[in-house]
Amino acid sequence: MQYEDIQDKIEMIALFRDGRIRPLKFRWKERVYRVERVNGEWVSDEGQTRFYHYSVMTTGPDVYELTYNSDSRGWLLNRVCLVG
Amino acid sequence: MMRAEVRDRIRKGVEDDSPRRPRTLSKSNPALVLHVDMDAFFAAIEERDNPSLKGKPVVVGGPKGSRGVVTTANYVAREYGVHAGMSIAEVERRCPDAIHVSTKGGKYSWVSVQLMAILRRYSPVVEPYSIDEAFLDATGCSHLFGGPEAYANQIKQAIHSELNLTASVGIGPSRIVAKMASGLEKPDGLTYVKPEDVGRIFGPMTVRTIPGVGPSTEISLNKLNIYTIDDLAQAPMSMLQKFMGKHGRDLAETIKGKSGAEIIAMEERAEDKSMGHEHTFHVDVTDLDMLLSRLLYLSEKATRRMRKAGYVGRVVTLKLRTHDFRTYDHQRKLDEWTDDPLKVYELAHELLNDLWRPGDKPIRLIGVSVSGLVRPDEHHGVQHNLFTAATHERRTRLLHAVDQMKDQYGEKVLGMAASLESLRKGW
Repeated sequence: MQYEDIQDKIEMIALFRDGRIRPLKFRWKERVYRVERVNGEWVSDEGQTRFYHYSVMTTGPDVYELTYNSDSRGWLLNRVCLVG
Repeated sequence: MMRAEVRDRIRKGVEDDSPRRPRTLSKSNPALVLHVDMDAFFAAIEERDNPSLKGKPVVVGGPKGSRGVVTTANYVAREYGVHAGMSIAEVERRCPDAIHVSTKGGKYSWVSVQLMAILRRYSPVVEPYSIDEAFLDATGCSHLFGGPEAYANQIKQAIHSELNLTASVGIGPSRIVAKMASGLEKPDGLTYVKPEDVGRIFGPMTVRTIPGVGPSTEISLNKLNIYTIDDLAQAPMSMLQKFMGKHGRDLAETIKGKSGAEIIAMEERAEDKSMGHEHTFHVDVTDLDMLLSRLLYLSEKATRRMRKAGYVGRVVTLKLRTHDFRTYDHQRKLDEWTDDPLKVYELAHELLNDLWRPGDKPIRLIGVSVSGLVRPDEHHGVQHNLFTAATHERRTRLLHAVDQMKDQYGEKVLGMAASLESLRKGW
């Protein structure tokens, strides 16, 4: 098991509902990953910019840490924990 | 039942019990305190966010090979004797296979905010005790949920379903009893200690197991032939009062459930007493410039927090820990109240000169804090004459501009150049 820092911009399909954001599907390196499970979420602030962090799993055991930047409205894949 | 309806019923239940403080204890309406304590909080959050960690020894704290300490160890790591405060080097000896996860304070604070929000749905009087613990005044609430245990179970379920974390809950007639009860069946425990059961459950335990009883209080009690909680409960109040003063009497009363049930809601809590920061260097430092650079950075951080919270302070304390783990602190009063990092730094620099000179023992940790905090007004401000008023005005405007920049773009956007040296070297 090891973490790898990625910091790549990704394309995301997410559901914005009732003041919450739920990541559903993202594209990274030309491959589409369906979010099967959100393990946890938290928020951090840097100045006036709020970051929404998600720890998610797709079809395998690997864990992906995703971040939504409320200022740029972009998504980032921060790091991946490779379990398999 | 709708959430608003529940809240309304809770509110009414508590209003019936007014006045809340000082509480009038009666057999028909005895005080009921809940202590909610999250299980291995930081480690549990990391396990939640990365399920592959489950079942493995997880240590949250400094990275492997570092000079840091353990912040939290999960229950698997605890089986190897790993506990909070242990050095990472010791963890590597006791549990070489431990998975080290660096502390992510912001993440844990956020989950703590969510936790407290859940608790406030169940009682209007919630006192956060630490980032992962809180006391709830349940006196007027528990009957609305079918009794104390059902009430506590609902809280546990809400925490589990909304945060995917577990908590241990203790219920008792006082804060101390509730806190001790929550520790009896960890993790994911629920223990209800009725007033009549306090002696049976806790009586044989040593007085040291009472939260807040440290080595010196234990020695004082032992001198009075008080070794167990039973001994304390049976000791004459007059003796405790005579030899230990109010502290001894309060301890006995709270263990009997006769006091200590007061919960202070977050919004009623006393104001902060001090604000400060400290830093453990990655290598022991003998270079004065490096110490001063870090001291300036810490002074900036402390005064930035003070300005955000609207405080000025007057007493500056410097803390030093040498490589052999000896800790020294030294404090001095400023001539006037301030929230200016340079004034705090200048006095901290003087204190450093008093305590340490180049060639002395290498420094492992340095910290600075400001106490004597008050809200600035005409009595706690700075009196300026004609010659210093203009300088002060310019300085205030500068700090205000820096604060605005940091508010908008983050804490790292601006800093004093001299403070960057220690950050740049990553010490």
